[in-house]
Amino acid sequence: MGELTAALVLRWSIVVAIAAPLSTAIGIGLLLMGRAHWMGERAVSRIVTVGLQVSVLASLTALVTHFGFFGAPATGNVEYGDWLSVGDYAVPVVALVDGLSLAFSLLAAALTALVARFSRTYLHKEAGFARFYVLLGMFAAGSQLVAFAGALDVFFAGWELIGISSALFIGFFHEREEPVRSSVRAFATYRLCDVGLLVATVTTHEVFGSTRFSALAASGTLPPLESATLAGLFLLSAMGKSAQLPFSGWLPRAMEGPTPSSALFYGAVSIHAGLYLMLRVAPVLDVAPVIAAVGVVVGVATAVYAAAVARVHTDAKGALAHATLSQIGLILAEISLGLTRLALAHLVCHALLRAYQYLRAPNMIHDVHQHGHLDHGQTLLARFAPRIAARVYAASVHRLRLDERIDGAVAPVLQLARGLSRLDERVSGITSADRP
Amino acid sequence: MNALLQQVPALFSDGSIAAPALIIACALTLLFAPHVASRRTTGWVGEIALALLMTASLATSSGAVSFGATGATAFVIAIEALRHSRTASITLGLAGAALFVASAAMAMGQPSVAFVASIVSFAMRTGVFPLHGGIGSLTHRSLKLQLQQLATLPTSVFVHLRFVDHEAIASDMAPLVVLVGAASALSFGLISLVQPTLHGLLRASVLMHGGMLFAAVGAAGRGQHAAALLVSITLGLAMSGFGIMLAALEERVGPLAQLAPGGRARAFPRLAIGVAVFGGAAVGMPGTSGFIADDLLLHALWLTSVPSAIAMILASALLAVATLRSFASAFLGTPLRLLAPDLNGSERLVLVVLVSWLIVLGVVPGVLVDPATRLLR
Repeated sequence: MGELTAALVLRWSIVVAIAAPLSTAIGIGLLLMGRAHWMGERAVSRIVTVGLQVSVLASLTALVTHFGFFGAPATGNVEYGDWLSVGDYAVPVVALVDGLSLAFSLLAAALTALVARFSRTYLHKEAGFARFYVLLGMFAAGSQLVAFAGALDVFFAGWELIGISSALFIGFFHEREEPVRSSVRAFATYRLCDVGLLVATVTTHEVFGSTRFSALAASGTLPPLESATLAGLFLLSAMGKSAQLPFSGWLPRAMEGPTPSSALFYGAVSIHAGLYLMLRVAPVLDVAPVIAAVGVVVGVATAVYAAAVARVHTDAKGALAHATLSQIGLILAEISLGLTRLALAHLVCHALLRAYQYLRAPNMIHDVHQHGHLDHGQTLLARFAPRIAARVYAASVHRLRLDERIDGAVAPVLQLARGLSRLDERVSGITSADRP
Repeated sequence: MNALLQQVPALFSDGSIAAPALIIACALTLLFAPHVASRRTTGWVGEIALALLMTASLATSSGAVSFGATGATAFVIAIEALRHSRTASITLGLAGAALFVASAAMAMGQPSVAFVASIVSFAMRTGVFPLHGGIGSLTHRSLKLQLQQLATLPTSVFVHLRFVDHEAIASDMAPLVVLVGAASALSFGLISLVQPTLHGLLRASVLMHGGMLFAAVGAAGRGQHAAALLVSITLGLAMSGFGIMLAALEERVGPLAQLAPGGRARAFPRLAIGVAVFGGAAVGMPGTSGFIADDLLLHALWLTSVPSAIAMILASALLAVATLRSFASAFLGTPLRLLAPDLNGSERLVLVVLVSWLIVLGVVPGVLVDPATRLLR
């Protein structure tokens, strides 16, 4: 009986955790589409905040159920049937409940609700107030979907929702050119790195006969090349989402969005989603030592790069973004070294600290006026190797010219696209029977 | 009468009514949506003829009649296209002729010939590179006819799957068809990246999805019917919605080919949301049928040709970036002073209906896929 109750409570709490913020966001979005003046700031923020608070409660309920509050401890896959089933191919709707999913779910839900409350005052009378809350609801649903997903298809749906809402938050002040450009750049990075996750999803299905995360436990049976390819694809996707080198260029640009969204996305939740993916697919990484080594190198390199840039950044949010990135790099290295428990603890503490720091960032100016600047003094490197220090300083100021390098790497693709476009025009001209 | 009534549940359970009924409902929505959006009260003859022909092609159990009716739909559009683009008219005329060949082959008991003729017709109607001149020019010269032609594609796909797709030749030709479709999709995905206007993006997007559909039809030769059906319907819904929204924008700001960048989102917020939603659905936005159609398609392609599946994933990613870039260029940035109103009532109705289709098929794709799979097996 107790087992049955626990299963039922768990099943519904996961549904509510995802559906509550999504339904409030869709509801408000539809109302605003109909008559924009129907709802004031107070109503919009309250409705979405209630949805987010319900999501926190649902997540907490799942947590206590997991620990046996309603009878037997509940853990493992929670089945909701198939989204679609055609022959031997099925897209399962399945949630995975374990310590990892519950920690990430609760973290995401609590911080999103906190940011929603903070934004009510912070964004008061800002154009796009309602849009902000609709996006917040969409993001909350996406992050809960990512946290509880028990299969890669469901995970990808949440992953995409996070990506889309992230791009829309960056371009929130859409009447200025720079945020719009930054938003397109971030979205392009996300989407191109998501190719890795999509290919990995299809490969997982073909190799294991299912896209369930639980199926990845059998990764040890794969030939080394296949496991390395799969791990490499997951790592690529995580590197894009978590802004690891060489895809770090979009992160400082993402600071164009409103501060509360920066706190949530680039301090707390979204930036950690790539790491969450790596924790989820840890069994694959365990049997792919070469890719694990690549993960360590990428993580450490990003940490060093970001720490150097953070020291020379002149704006508060940019410096915070790079400080965040440096810790993200370290967490990636920890995961790649197989220290998953340490990585999870590091991730949760880091997300909480950064959310606080980002939300306080606008007060920094006030703090500086009150307390004055902190003098960091001369670094060891500057004392013993001033030439190298000068070079490191210059490279950090220019952020290794990452954007230019990425643009350079993309240039041949654009050149190919232009060539194809010319070929298209020529073929269309030759086969045309129309007058120009 | 009683005997007939007793057969009704069986017809629904084996999908022989439910699947064609849903497809025709979707096709009719697509066919009449541009008319409703533009509030035209005249010129319904072409649409009514197409509606009757599509219904006939799905209602009959004879392959010859079905292909004949589908060929006639291509001819009806070809005749109308003559006033706008001779290239499109010739292309659609040839596609129609190929379908008549398929019809004759079915009548003579030669389904393999009918399969080849049907595939040739698809190559022309989906605008596979380098046969894309006609379909490409239709976007520029008559968006209305392009939308009509997209509306007829789901019925053509269904007829193809129902009558000729189970032939041995379908399985043999699958890798080639998939490869051609994927190469075409990737080419137009790349081309979409360098389109300076929304009009260019629409053309590249229609052709990229054409390649996608062609590949899906090829993969169906190895038993992956559901992907082809869902891709054809998503293509119709997303591209028609995108086209209708762009036509609405064109009515308000002048020719899209000469559209300068600038912030139009403040003046046309609902129009901007419409363009974003349809553009997103076309590139697999979660919650819409585009997401599940992409998922099914990738699985189907992977079983036939792994490089083609990867090419398709890349094509979709490139188109997503191009869509956001073009959207940003046309709607975001320094606000422009525009006096034209946002979407009117009928345009909003069309927006809601098409988005509802996309969401319903995205959330519960089984309503279409299950009966269709039962029937096609």
